[in-house]
This record gives sequence, C-alpha cells and structure tokens, in this order.
Amino acid sequence: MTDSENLLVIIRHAPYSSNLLREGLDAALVAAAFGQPVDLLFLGQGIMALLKEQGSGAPGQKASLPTMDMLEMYDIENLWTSEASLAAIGVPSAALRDNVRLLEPEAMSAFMQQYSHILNF
Amino acid sequence: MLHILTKAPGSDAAQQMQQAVGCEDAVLLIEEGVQAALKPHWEGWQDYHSRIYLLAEDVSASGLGEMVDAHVFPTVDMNGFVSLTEHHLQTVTWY
Repeated sequence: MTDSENLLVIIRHAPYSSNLLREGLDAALVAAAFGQPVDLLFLGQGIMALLKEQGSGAPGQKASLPTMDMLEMYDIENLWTSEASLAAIGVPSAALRDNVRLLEPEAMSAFMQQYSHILNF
Repeated sequence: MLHILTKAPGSDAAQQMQQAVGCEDAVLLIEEGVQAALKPHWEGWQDYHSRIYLLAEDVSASGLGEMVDAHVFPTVDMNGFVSLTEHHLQTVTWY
C-alpha cells in the first residue's frame, strides 16, 4: 500500500440533479472526521459545486453551499479541478471558490497515483 | 492503477476516465462499458493497447460475443477481473 492511507473523493455530478454530490461530500466529511487526509477532485458537472455565488438551494432541497463551506472545518482544504473539465463546462475560474486548485491535463494521472483510496461520485 | 468503466465510450464517465489513465494503468470495461466492442475505432482501444479488457460475462450477457470475436478484442473472465484488482495497488471505478 502507499505509505499513508489517504482518500481522494471525485465529484462528477452537479448539485441538486442527484444526491451524488451530497453523498460524496458526506463520505469525505466522515473520512476526515476519522482523521484520514482527504482531498476532493471536481470533474465535469461536479464543477458546478465550486461556484461561489450559489443560492440557498433548489426548492425543497438542502443547499449544498453550506456543506462546501464546512469542508474547511474538517481540514479538507484541497479542492482540485482539471483545466480540461473547466474549459469543457465553460465556467470562468473567477466564478470559482477561492481555494480551488487547477490540474493540467498531463498531471492528472500522477495526481491520482498519490491516493491509496479513490471514491467516485 | 486499475480503472473500471461501467459506462459506454463517449459518456462523461468514459471521457473523464480518459483524462486520468496513466501509462502503467489498466482499464476494465464492465456493464455498459462493454459497448466499446461496438466501437472498434474508439481511441481507448489504441491508447490502452495490451492493457484494456472487456469482462467476458458482461459481453455474453449483452449479446456482443460475435463483435468481440470478430475484432479479437481482449477479454477477461471474473477470475481475470480478480487478479487484475490484485495486480494493481489502487482501483478506481468510473460510474
């Protein structure tokens, strides 16, 4: 196994279109609560969760923004996305939260190799 | 790393997986992923030559055996699946 146990949670679905974003964030929060280092990688539609101007939530649904803000309290500071996904979805990086870091396309596979466990939502 | 794709080529899951596969990684196509047998020109066949496999059980379940034989696409059975997971340190599934 890699020297340390660490988890990468990949988020690939937008808020409100399914429960997958909330389930992914919950999985990350639980792992962090148990002291495991956790990073989050947002790809494709998942990038919509990174917009800082989100509203209070679709009618009848719990807003996802508060959960995103809570990540830092659980020491989940590294929010990653890929330049390719950002370009594909057309979100300007200025619209993203401040603490989002960008991965060049060639760096993706080496980036993922660092994690002993990878969950995909 | 072993990448397991459960969606067809051209899907978001397939495109996002293609961003992540490294040169020593292997790819296993299961469930809807076996539809790659219908797309001999899918670039995955080229890019991951000799390290990409279709799951035989899902190929026969979907009735794609003839296409697979016609193009001699590589397959593994369930035991092959298990040994792939043992051979690679990490496994990531793309849904």
